[in-house]
Amino acid sequence: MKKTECVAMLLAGGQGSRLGVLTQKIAKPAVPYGGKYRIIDFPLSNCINSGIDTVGVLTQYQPLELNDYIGSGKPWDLDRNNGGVHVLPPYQKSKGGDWYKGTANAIYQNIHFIERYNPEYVLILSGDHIYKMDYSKMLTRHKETDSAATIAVLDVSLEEATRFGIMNINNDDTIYEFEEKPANPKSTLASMGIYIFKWDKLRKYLCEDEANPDSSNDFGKDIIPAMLSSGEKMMVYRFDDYWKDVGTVESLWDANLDLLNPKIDLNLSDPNWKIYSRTQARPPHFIGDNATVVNSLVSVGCEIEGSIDYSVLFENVTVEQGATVEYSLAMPGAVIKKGAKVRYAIIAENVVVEEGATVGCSPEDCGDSADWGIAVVGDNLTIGKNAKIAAGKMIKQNVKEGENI
Amino acid sequence: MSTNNLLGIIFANVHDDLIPELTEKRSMASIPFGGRYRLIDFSLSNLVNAGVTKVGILTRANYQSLMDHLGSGKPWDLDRKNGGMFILPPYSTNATGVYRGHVDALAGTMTFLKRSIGEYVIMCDADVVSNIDVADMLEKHIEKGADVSIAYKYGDLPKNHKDTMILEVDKENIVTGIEVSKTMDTKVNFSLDVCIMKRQKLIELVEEADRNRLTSFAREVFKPKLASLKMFAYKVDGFAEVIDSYENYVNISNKLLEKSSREQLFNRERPIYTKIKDDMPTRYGIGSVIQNSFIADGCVIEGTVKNSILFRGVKVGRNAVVENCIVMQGGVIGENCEVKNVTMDKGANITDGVKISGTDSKYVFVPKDRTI
Repeated sequence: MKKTECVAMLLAGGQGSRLGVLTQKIAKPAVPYGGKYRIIDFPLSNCINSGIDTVGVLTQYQPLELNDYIGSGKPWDLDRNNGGVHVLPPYQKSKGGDWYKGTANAIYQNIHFIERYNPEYVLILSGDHIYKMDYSKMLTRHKETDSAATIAVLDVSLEEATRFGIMNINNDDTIYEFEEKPANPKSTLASMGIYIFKWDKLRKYLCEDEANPDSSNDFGKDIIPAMLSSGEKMMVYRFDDYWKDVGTVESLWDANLDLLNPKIDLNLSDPNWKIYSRTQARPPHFIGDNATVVNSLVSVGCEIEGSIDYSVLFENVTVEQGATVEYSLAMPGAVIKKGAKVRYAIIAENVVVEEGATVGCSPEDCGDSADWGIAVVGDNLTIGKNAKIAAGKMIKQNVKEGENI
Repeated sequence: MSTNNLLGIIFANVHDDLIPELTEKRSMASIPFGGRYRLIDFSLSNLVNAGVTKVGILTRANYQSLMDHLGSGKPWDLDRKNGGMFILPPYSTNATGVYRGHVDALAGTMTFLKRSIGEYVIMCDADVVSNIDVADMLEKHIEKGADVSIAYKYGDLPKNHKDTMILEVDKENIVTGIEVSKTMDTKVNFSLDVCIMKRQKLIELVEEADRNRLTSFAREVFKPKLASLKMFAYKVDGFAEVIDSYENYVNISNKLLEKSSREQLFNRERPIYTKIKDDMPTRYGIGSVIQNSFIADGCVIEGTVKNSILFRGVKVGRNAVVENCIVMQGGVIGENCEVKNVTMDKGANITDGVKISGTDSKYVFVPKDRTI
């Protein structure tokens, strides 16, 4: 069989529990982003743009929507005769089957998939981040330094460093220590969860890790430390463009509104590095006579008669006359009826906000600033007429007319 | 019944000469329309939405932009092992060179017609913008036991067509009379040039007409043969417009600013498919003022846009005013411009500070890739 230099394995099984209702029915990589994308479009588009056309997507939690979305891989040009994109759920083997116990175990269970391509290198990715990155540059660096592993890192502030896995390095960029969320960080180089390994090395450590009953079978907690303590050569690869983890409601909201910030360079239709997505056959959007639309991103199929400011509207959103949407995300198919007010909120797919209802409020208008947060309404729910949803609430069921939450 | 039983034929170059502004470098079928479409998308989607899996596209000239748009047929699900999309360039049978009419064109593609397996054929002209339920039309065609079914609309006759059929129908919508090339001041039932018949019947009619050197289906085949053919007229009630001049192109485009037109044409049950561009959603800047406009993906708008249609990737600079305009893909309107009643073809560029305006009845036309 033809040799493939580098196979990418994309960990897409995470629940993303901190996103609450937004990931109740879908895996985190399937969460909508930027008006027409899903989070997983970023690693998949980065792969094809980097010349990596063999990608295994490891799914586990709520895979239906994600499987459907990936399909044959057509939108990313990943429908290939050799390679292409493959969805890899846990499966039954002759000696019984297991869920993926951890990130390392997920790769371990798919050793056979990787071996079919006989690769020299394996790229490990996650489906949790918004960024544009040329993995081929990282691979070149990995080959030049002849490392066992290369880990992409981002220089963060000292304060943020306490929330990440931190790489402590020598002067030559080799890693001597990995610390998960250190209280007193020695460095500010945070792991981006992007690794390149020599496949024969990774294979050895995965098998050893699997044989260790005390291991949690996780890359960060087990594999990286094991390789370091065996003295393997491990390098950091510095990345300094836009990168955002969208693991929480606030960061998802932030990352969307970053698209409206002229100071942030995040052009997703740059012909040299396009982000691809599966698109719906919908007409252009229409903006009516009484609408005001400022500083916003509006996708296909929307019908806008109301007022939009600093917001991202996904496909097929309707905003009726007199309704206002500010500092918010309205996901596909959402309907904001006459006179409703949506501020500092995330409205999930197909939600109906009835006439006169209010969802969320600005930090200034919120009485106690400690209570302030982004309000979230789960998919397919209805917020009744004149109902009021306070800042920071997460709505999991329909809200009746006039109700205050 | 198996929908594979219906073979699609689209005439891509019909009436190119009626819109010289827009067909200088393209065919009728590839004229941009409605913010993100080309005219052929409507016929092609109508066929695909009825389950048609094999479509022949008859081209004559200027078909590079059309081939570019259609690619392998992916967006219409027509990249197939069985059937799929076939672009049929002119194939001259007689000494006449490129073909003159529908009969001629079909005679040149007889091999395609004969080799296909569908029992029925549907033929469409690319200059019709509509969302027709073709599956329903075929069902009615069979139910009525018709030899030929023709979709029609009740309204004003397209002024510039020389061979549009005016249909006289009975209570059962069976055609009882045909008039061709008549000017009419009143509203009439006129053919939308969407026509279903048995494939075998079409082969017979074309071979006979070709032998007799006939070229027009309407005038020389259907009209004289009405007595021996059972013709059923299928009424189209929704949005259905025939584009037959530049003025008319502008007027029909502007109908998309009415909600009812959009709802009929972009019916969710029967979507209109087009080439995918992977553009970002449109970005509106801090100073943007937008009213009554139909705007596609990938635009960046910082100025004022009113009563206009913007295609994909259009840029409107700060303090620019764009009113009553049709701006095709990649058009750029610089800062402080004032552009009113203008159609900008693909890639046209109005540089900073320029003022240009037409009138309500005559939009100024800026040709493809022109900089002003």
